[in-house]
Amino acid sequence: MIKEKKRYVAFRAYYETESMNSLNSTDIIKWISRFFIEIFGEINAAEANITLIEYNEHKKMGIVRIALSQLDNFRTAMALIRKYRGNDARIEIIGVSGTIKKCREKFILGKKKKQEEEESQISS
Amino acid sequence: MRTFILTRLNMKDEVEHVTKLIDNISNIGFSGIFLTVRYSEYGKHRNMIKDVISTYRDNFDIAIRIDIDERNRNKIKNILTSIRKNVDIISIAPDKRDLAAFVCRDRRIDVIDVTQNNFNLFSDSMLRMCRENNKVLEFNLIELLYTWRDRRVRILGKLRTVARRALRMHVKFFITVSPESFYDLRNPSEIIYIGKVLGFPREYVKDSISIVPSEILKINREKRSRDFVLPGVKIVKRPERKEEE
Repeated sequence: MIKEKKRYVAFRAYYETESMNSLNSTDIIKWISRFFIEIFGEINAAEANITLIEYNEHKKMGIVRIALSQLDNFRTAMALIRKYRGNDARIEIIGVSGTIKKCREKFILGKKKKQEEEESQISS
Repeated sequence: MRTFILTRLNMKDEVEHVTKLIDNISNIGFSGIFLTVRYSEYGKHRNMIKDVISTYRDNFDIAIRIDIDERNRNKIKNILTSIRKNVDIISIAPDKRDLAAFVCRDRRIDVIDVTQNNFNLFSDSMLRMCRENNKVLEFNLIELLYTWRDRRVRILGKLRTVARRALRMHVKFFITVSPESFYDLRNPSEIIYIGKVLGFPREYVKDSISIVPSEILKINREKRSRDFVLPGVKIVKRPERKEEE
């Protein structure tokens, strides 16, 4: 049986902190998957198999796992998000990666960028 | 490397709000905007626009775009005569068939807005006329962000119909999300993904926020220059005036 390919998507949530309590990981995954279902339907959502890997409430950043076949649809759905329970909110996709480790390093921790900057400073 | 242009940022009374938005727009990957003002408010906003443009003179390209909100043909002609030399882009959203035909034929108008009120005007013949007269259609997707379920489905359906026809007729188009606040901002890749919802191929959407607007801007700026004579003809060197002794 061929294993289905997946991708890890790093995202950042923006929402009004004054009028809303900070969202925890359950709120975030409900918000994302409900919106995806609203736009692309239940069949596509079942194929996408959206899973929240991690979410940092302070940074408002997280990682979601998604089937590669539904990646474009997922990005479209995230771009169309504008509200959360009537309040201003949006989700920005920071980047997509093939492994959790790379996704975390590249987009959440920003290690690679720092390393590159340090290397460039040393070389100069 | 591609440069992306946001083809609509509506001018507001508060300059600070606009400059904040422009800062955010430049941070998310755009290298220029069309600062849009309705003709009826142009006089009021003229000085503010100058202030905004002077703030970003070197590092961000700001073009002035006028949205004509007049519906009388003769008045539109007068408006065009008075403003064509002063602004970079002129757009209009016709609401009746005869006005749409007039707008298509007038070469001083660059962009035709596709809005909720004029979906049904864009028949095959109208789109053919748009192509022949080098007009650009603008699909503003901001309504998709603010509507829900049934209403969104209805708008999306109509937009997709016009988009399919425009694609078939090879009409140039812009795709934009005119931001009113920080939460409306979408970076170029997000606009490309939203644009795909309309049924356009990815490359076409990419061109619609980069090559198409920058080409129109380039041509119009060339036309506004002192040396322009005709498309393809310009004054290379002016004769030096001999001073009378």
